[in-house]
Amino acid sequence: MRVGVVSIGLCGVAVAAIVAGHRGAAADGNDDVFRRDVAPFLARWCFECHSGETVENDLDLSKLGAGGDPDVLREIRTKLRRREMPPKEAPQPPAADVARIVAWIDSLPDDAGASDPGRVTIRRLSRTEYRNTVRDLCGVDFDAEARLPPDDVGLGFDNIGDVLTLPPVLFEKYLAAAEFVASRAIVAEDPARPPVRRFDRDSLQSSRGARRDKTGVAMFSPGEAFGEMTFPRDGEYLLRVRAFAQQAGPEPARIALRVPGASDQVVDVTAVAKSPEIYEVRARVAAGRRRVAAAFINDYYKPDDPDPTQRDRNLFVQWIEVAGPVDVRPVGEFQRELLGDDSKRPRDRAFAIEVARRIANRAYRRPATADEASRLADLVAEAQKSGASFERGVEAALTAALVSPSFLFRVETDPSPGDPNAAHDLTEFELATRLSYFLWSSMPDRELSSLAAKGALHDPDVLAAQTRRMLRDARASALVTNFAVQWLELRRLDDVAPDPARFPEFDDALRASMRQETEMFVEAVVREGRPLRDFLDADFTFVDARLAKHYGLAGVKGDRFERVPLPRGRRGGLVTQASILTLTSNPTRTSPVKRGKFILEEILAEPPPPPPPGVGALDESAAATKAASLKERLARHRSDPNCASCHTRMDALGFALENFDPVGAWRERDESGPVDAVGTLPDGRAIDGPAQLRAVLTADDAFARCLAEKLLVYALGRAPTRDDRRALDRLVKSLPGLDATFEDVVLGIVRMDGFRRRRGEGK
Amino acid sequence: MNVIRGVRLSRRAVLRGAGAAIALPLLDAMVPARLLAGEPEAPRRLVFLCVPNGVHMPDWTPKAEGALTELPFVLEPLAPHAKEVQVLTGLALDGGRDHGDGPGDHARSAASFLTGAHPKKTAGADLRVGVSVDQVAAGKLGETTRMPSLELGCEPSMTSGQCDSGYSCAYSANVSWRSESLPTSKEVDPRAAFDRLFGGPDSGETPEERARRAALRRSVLDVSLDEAKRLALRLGPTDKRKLDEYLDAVRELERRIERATKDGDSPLPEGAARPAGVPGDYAAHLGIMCDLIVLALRTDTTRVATFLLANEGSNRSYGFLGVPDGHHEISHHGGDAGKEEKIRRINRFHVEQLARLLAAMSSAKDGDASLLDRSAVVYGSGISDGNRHNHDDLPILVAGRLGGSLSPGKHVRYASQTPLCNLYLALLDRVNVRAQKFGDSSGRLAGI
Repeated sequence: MRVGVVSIGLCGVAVAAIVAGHRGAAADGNDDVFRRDVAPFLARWCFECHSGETVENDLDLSKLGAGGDPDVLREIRTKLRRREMPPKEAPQPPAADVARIVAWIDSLPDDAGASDPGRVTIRRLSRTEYRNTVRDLCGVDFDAEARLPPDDVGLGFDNIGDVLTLPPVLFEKYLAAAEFVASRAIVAEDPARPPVRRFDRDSLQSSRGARRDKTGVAMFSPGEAFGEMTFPRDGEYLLRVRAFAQQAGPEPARIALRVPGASDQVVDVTAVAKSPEIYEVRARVAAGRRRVAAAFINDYYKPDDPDPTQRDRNLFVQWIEVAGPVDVRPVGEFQRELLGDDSKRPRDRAFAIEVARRIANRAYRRPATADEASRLADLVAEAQKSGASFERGVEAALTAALVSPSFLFRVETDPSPGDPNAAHDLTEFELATRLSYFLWSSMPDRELSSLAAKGALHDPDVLAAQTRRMLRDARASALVTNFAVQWLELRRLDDVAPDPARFPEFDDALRASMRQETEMFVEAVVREGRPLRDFLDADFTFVDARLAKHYGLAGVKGDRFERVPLPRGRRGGLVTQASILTLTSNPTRTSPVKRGKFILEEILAEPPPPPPPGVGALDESAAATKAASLKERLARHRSDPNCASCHTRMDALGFALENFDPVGAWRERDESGPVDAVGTLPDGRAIDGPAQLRAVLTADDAFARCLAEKLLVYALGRAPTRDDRRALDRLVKSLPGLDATFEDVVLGIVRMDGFRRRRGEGK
Repeated sequence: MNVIRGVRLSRRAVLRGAGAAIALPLLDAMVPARLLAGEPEAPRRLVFLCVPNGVHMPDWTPKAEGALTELPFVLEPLAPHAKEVQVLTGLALDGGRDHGDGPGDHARSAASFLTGAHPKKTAGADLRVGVSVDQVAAGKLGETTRMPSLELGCEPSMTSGQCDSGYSCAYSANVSWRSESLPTSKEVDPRAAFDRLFGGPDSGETPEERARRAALRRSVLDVSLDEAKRLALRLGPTDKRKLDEYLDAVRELERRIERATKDGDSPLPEGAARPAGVPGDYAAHLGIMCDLIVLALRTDTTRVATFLLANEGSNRSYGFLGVPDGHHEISHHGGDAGKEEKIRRINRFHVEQLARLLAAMSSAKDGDASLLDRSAVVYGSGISDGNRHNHDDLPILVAGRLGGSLSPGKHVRYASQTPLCNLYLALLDRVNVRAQKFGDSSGRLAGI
């Protein structure tokens, strides 16, 4: 076999692009240069593996015609510059030639002409987006994490249109969620006619000491008659019991009406068998499923009483009833806006249509059609016809809106859905929606919607101003809690289980603190407009007492997080935070491979291809662990040329972090002796420890390019197209390297054609 | 902890998990009237259990063919049910192989396990594999039950990062596929699963209120259908496919509401309490999910269930077995005896869960037979040796008699590379689903 020729990082997309033909990025002069200089260079140094019948990595460079595919050229430049290609074992080109080719590729002009904006599959709201949207639509706090299943992930994010499916089980949950949200958003109760739930002979249950008989529950000794029901909300309820007693002794029979959470209310049951009576109390009850009981609390038995009618006191419960809630729930702002202040306004069809239109305009994130409003108004009429209130009907209409495809999906349409060449601007409302879900993971607010209604949003200045405004809004924290948490794979922290025998200090509190550190850190860099460099190399972080101890930092007490300066050298930036160090480790040991892979995937956006089939895993037997350090074993692994081309770089990055143990604490020794934190890059450069790793990661603008690409994928919910990638290259070129801010990148993305435009789909 | 165990299960047997209890009444008491009225034949039921990362085969495969007299270490917990179990050796899952797609055996094996199809390699767009055998069966067995099928698991789909070598997480996390592009999605929260089965907590509604609410739901769904149809006219082909999922889901829900209205009250057994949520303890979680399967079958709420004990490729740590390492990590044991020992302990632990399920099913009466007599429980993995990732010589067993149509109590060795789908085709036959072919089947598995 040819040795060491597996190229890395040339992903399938780029390869497909070559085969599919290309438009040619270079101008005519460049074609000449390509023929004169580049083609011979490739032929001499690359074709042995990358041409002919068996091409390495499916990359046939002999098919790279004049001009050349920009994606492939970019990859060639990267590989050459890093001296990853040709592989070490192969003859190496003179440095001057390499420099000339790299410089030429760098000098290629941008192709800024009309580009293909691509298309985005209609996107179902993710769980996070659903929660935020109902909060912003109708002010209801909905626990989506508990009530909806997690969304599938593609491309590292859970908001990818093609990946978000809608199986029946999920739709069931959407319907239940809609009913829940609508019942809380709309006050439709009539305290004068509250719902009543009765437990009678058939449905009453009895505790010990009580037994069911033909009229209800009979209690000949202390006991309870009870039923269980769900109280729809916190509020006041009337508890009623119909009972009588066989009286005896000095006092009347007594029952305590009890609901958990409220204090017992005692009533005297003076009634007797031939005339049972209804006793009623009022109680505040918290929402939820609770037991409602009538307890017989003063049993009396004196068998030797001379008066036979005074010997035994017994209690009989015929039914228990709960009516309510009977207190008036305040009407929320959402309902006031829907229904207006005029309570005298006739609750007729015209009004129903008006209300329905208001619901749909907001819920569908665009003006509703007359048809849509009319269909929702039908539900109001139907409710009224069945004897329910107008408000109950509005609740039904809102329920319907919340399960409508126009709400559950972010719909974008094309004038010619079947024509892939028909590119066009998004409608103003579609653009507003893309922007708000990108920055807020939620629906547009009124300002954004009204700008869309005026047709102003496509104006670049307005778009930029809105973007800046929205980034300053509190809702932009979604960029941390939704975007960054997924980008940095922080959710996986929930599932890691470091071996408790080796790492007794790790527990759920520390797990939570780790995550919070990273979230607060990202938020600070974003909100304070700090340079992107800070993500990788910062002189501060956030810790509470727990994490400070873990890090060996003095002077932080309590649960509150504090911003602390970091001494130079060890920690600083995302990849040295305990969260990321832990989620890239195995339960019993560090994994330089996983750490290196994380850096390649999430920091540099150069994902390594998956390992080829049949490669051996690391020998982890006790004998092997004893005989050789992890580093030695990995070195053996890399000596296999199948593995070397990827692992050389990956492992080097990970080794530099070996001073951090599997839960991210600093260590000077590991299982096999003093820590050796030196990794060697393919070009022979050594990285010794985290400080030098930071220097390597911040040496060029790869991180800016990576972050921009992650943001684009998240914003569009699809993989970047070729034209997207070129636009990203242009964007990064226009930025001041890692001195750029998060806002700079976001502004660049919302200006891209891929963000503002779309096209139809081929067959 | 009280659990379902054969002899101890009585009418008031209480199943506990995370502080919740489900009481199991006798099935007879629960059988919906229409069943007593007599379907021509006693209903048959299918259950599929799937475990990740393969099995340590030397401790799984019985030495001799024929009667199951000596059980290997991993299968030992099945000793009390040896007469109800058949171990089928030599089956293969070709769909799990790479077919030129490179690594990703975990994702492929899960996606292929019940579909027999070779999944399309994609990280997201255009998932494609095939309809799974449980869903094909549910098309028939689910015609009259409240729910066509039940899908359970213990681990949600991964919510960030990559799952397996360029394959979408949907492949590793789902074995049941409703269409070739739509996993049915599984329930991991026992409380949510319970609510789906039995209609949630008693809301205290009167029958009239419930009827009114059902009517309103139908009206709401009518609006949804209208809107979706209208919207579909304006969309391109991919978007239309997404909307088809929506339409299918709405129609399915309409059918459920229809059935619930017709059949009256939910068959929730008296005294059954909702589970509290996801237990922190994995063993308890597995136990309560098995309990739910039994409950669903006994109440005839459904006749088809699938249960993915852990997502394929799961790196869960089994500290309570003395295995603090990640399952996937050590499944690449490289022949190391210490690791093999850990792997077989995990394998055996999973089989213990199966044994519990079988115990409960065999002591549950189903008319004049036991629930297990009427059912087939398929247990196995789409990977054989986790270290090699091979998809032949799979660990597969079938428990139960499926209404007298199976003859368990033996170990059968089939010709190497016999498609696993031949087993499925043979099972489909026995539940009156006539198919010429399923997945890569080459015939009907004989001798079961």
